[in-house]
Amino acid sequence: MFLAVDPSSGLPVYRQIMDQVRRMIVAGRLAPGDRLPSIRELATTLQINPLTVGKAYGELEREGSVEMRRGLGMFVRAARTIPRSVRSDRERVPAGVAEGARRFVLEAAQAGLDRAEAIKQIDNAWRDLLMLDRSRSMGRAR
Amino acid sequence: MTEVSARFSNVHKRFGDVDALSGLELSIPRGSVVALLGRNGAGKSTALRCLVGLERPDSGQLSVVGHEPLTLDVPMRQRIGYLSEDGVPFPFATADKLIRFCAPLYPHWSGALEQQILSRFQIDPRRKLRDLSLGQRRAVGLLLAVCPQPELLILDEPAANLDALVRREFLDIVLGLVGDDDARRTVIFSSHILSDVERIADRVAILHHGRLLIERPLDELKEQVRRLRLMFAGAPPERLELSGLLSLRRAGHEMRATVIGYDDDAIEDLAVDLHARVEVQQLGLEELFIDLVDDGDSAAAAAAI
Repeated sequence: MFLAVDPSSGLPVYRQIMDQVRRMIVAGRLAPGDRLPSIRELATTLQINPLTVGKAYGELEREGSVEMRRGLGMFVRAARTIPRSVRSDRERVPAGVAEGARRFVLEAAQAGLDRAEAIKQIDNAWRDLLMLDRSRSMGRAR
Repeated sequence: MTEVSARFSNVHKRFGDVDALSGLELSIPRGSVVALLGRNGAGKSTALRCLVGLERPDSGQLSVVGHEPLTLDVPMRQRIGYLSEDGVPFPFATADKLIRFCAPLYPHWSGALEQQILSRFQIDPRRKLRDLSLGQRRAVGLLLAVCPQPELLILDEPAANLDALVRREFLDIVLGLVGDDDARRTVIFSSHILSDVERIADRVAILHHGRLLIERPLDELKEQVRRLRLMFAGAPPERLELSGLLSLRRAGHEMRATVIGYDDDAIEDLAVDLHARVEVQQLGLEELFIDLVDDGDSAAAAAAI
């Protein structure tokens, strides 16, 4: 699962986790029935307090996006039980990505990068993300 | 009812003519990870030393795991782990000797955790403490505080002067201890490294001149505190009387007010009332900390909340 948090942000970490999990649910990256990492697992990978992960999961459960199955963990709920407010974000997710791209391109242009150099930056960042995800799943298997 | 792990009620402590604590009020709920923040000399270490009975307060009440610190018997002391600011005494002892001396004093000493810390920090237990690196010496101190698997863990500047990697390891170990839901362990730690605090603390208490400035869940601070840049057409007002005002700075036609408890609508209303344009900024802990402790006047304002 692709999750990264910035603890120094003004946005509380539990909100960052909620936003990212919701985004993956809305975009179908997390499908109904998918299991989220356990609280402990996620706290360890992100190196944050388990109470924070617990709070994010609790809020996601309360709004109906995920459900706790006793002894099994936290699962993404069936699409119809996911609240309209979360589902209606569907259009906003690609828009958010486009907005992020515009910001990135602006910053790259201001920094004097050309198109090829900017794309190279994206490629590098993409590779880092995949590697991070892989190292995490290997960490779990160990 | 929330169970309280430690409490300060109107605690005063004076060293010579310096007030280290002047009426500290603070209550630490069980199961929380509380970061104690403040500038040097704000009273953090004195507060923690009072909790473990290393200092006797001049006045006021203290309780720790339900009792007055100076009257704790052995079984109660076994429920508390402490790492002092100065780390571990006995520089001529080997790590092994010190550990074997301490371990039998605690009924729940974790040999597994002991091994884990020794190997993570590559500590050769046969070496004398003074021959270990600073990070390793601090790690031995941390080991002695966490291996008893205490119900209350008190860490005074655990990460000071350590490099980023060692700090990460320290955080991991503390988080490992907190992750055990059933034990509901409490951690109180003082720190100047706010990026660490933002990772592991769920509550933050800021001390200033021996008093509590503010104590809140970290999330609540981030959600409720806003820095407002108020821009006036003419001269800004002489005074600004606002509930929830944490700090105020003035520069030319502008005022910078840090406030708590205002949502977007309330901020709009405020700007209209003041005939000012407003820019709103969410704050990370570092900015918030600086706004709060940077000037003496804000202390009085925050105490009023």
